[in-house]
Amino acid sequence: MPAPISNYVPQLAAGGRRPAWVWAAVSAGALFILAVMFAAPLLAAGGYVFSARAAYAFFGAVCHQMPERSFHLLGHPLAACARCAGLYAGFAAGVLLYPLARPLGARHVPARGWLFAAAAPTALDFSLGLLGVWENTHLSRSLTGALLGAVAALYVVPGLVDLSYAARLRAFRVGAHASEQ
Amino acid sequence: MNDKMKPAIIGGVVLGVLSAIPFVNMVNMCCCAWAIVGGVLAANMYIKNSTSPVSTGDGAQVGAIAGVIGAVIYLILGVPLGIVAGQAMFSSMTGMFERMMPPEQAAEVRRQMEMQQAAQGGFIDQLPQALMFGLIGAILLVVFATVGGLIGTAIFEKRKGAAGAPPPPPPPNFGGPAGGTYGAGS
Repeated sequence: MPAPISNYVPQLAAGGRRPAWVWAAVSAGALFILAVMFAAPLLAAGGYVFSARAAYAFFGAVCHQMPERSFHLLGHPLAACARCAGLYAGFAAGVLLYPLARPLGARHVPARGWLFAAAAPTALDFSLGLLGVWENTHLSRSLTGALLGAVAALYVVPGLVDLSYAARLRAFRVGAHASEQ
Repeated sequence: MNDKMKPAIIGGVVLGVLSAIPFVNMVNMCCCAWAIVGGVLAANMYIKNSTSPVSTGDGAQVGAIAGVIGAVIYLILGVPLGIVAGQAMFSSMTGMFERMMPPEQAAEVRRQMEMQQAAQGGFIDQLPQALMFGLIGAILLVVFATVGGLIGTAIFEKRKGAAGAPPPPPPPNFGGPAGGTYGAGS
């Protein structure tokens, strides 16, 4: 059965540099987050109190920032805890290496089993620590977080590429409707 | 109403209210968990109501709309509630210290906390700073709700043929028989 005309995807939208731009934007965002995370202790050590406070506040909304659960730089804790630091670092690495693993224009995500498999070590490390079975360390928290972050990039980048196409397609349809009238 | 709006409003209200309630919002300290839950919930509801397979881009869009709605609720409800809860926590903590500590030590702690609170000022004095931090939190809610929408679509969309899915392989006789039909009539 032929597909309805509403499902038609203009081939103009399928190519171009759009995926590269999306990837560049996500990479820039991931690197910005990493930079803020590492800048906080450096600013605090340098005596830039207000800037350091702003950097810590940026992560304060999404992380408990307990010093005893965080890596330290120049005597000050990073702006995010060890698990979050691993997660963001892994995500940044995953996004930067993404073009080596998959074509930038790919809009389909890997099977969801990979996401669950990547989340399992973090969940295990967290729950065993909570139950007192296993004393998790900075290294275990950051490595399990990094694995989850890196795999999450494989879902986020194609999703945002697809979103950018959806936005472009809508603009195309609006333009087509306008020219019909 | 757009078919994306209803799930986005429900997801947005859930994430906004849960992120605004003091103490309950501490769950957000685990990678903005309420925002991710709101995005996943919105994507799940959208997938259930959609007759055709939902692409990850659509899921991200629903998550982002839910994030914006949640962020507005968080700014309206969460910022003033946070200031009020901070003041309430001050009185409960001083009461706790007075019960737990020797009187002179408790008085010293109380004096220091009162000095700190005096430096922060009252509700109106704290509002600009709380709004600034609230805006940062609101932006993060939108970002993480979008990620939640993406992850929700990856988890819950089980139908084949979403817009982003790879195309199916061509049928075996696609393009005619091998070698073509040229000259077959002669």
